[in-house]
Amino acid sequence: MLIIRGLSAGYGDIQVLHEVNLTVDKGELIALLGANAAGKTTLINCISGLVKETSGTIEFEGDAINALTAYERVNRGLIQVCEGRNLFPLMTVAENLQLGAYSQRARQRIKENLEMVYSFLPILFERRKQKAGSLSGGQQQMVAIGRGLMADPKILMLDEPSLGLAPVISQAVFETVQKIKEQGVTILLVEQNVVKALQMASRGYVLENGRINSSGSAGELLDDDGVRKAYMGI
Amino acid sequence: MGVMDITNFAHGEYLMLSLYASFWLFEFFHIDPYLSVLLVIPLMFLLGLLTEKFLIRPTIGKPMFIHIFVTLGLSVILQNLALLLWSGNFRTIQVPFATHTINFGDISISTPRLIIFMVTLTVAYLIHLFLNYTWMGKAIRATSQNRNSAQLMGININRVFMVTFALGTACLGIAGPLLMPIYYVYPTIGFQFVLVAFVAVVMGGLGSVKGAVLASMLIGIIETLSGYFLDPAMKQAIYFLLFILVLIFKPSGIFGEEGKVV
Repeated sequence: MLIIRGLSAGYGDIQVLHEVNLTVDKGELIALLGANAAGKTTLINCISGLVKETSGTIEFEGDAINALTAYERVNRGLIQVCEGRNLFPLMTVAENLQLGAYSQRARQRIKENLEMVYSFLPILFERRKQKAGSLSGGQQQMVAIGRGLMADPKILMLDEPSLGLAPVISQAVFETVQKIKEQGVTILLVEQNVVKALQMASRGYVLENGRINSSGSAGELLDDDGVRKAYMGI
Repeated sequence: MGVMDITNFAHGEYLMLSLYASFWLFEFFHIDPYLSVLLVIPLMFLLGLLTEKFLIRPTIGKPMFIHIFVTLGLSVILQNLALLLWSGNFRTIQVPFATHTINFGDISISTPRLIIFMVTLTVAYLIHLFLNYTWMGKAIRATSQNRNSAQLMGININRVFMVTFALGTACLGIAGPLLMPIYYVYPTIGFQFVLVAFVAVVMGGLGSVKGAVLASMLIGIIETLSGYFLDPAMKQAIYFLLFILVLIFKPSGIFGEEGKVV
């Protein structure tokens, strides 16, 4: 569904990604792992079209999408839930969710998707009239995920959804991700919580200094000595 | 201004162009300003679209001084172009209703000014509705709050910038013809209006339509009362004093959201 070949990208003179190859098949949940500053966010921003690649190709559903702008990619169902819960803080929760369905494609199913989001995340229904900026970190993350679902995603890229959340709350976030996967949505999950991510994923990629260092099935990576040493402290 | 993080220093010159447009439409075709407004609005909207596309767009995402130089340069060019084409003379039109007043007992109100007041309130209300209840309006607000997130929602932010900028100039397309019967036009008239407009927008709180409307009413009342009771020469000093006080005690403006400091 998503095939990335030889992708390099950076900011100004600094190259962040070096020849990254990555494949996500339909219905899969793929974990993208790596330490801080490994280039995870740059990679998915590149896939979203926010960062322009210097070389390489991005193929989505059989078409090269390198030339498409960010909003055109969204309209094809390539959706990112960004890190740091970049919500629209002065808008209500309901307005944030509505904007998730801004693309022509998503507007057609706005009613069904809103019902689905409210049933998945009932807290959002309770808080729908509140300004997004006034919510707690965990609730803001829920809004960000809900907003991603409103876009009627074919593939949902989640950038560190558990970042900065208390363990109980990040557990709830992972359960939500699991539920989304069960709906048949393809997911690319960027995480620092390696164990949790690999438990949910079928396959994983480890990004280190902008290069794919190792990849394989979730089980292989969990048993891999290098991964264990680097990310689990074992 | 709040949406694009761009300050258009040529805003006053667009008002000047709008005034000249209604002036020439009256001179050549005898079109009443209250009618020519219907022509000047689309004209100014179009001019805004073109300006954004060819002059402002290339400055977005660049260091701040670049757009300041571009719009300041544009302002100088437009002033001198007007001077070259239409000379520095003060021009005005003679229409019978310019001095018309409506009397309520002891109070008499200038009809053209009353019309301006009511149109301003209506337009401000329409903008408020547009920003809160349409997809495009919400996209504009979203873009002003988080540009990257807006793109990830599927919003074409270049289109948002274009529409926002053109709406701003279209509003001047309303202001020009309505001001023409009671004002005069000359190449540097823009400065007179734009200075007080900046004060109103910043005092009300950047990005707040309600704030801008209330602040401009406040300024108008202060200007008139201090001119009448103190000294006409002092009338600007008083509201600037108030402006400084607002900046000291609430830098985000009267209705400004916290954290959106200018």
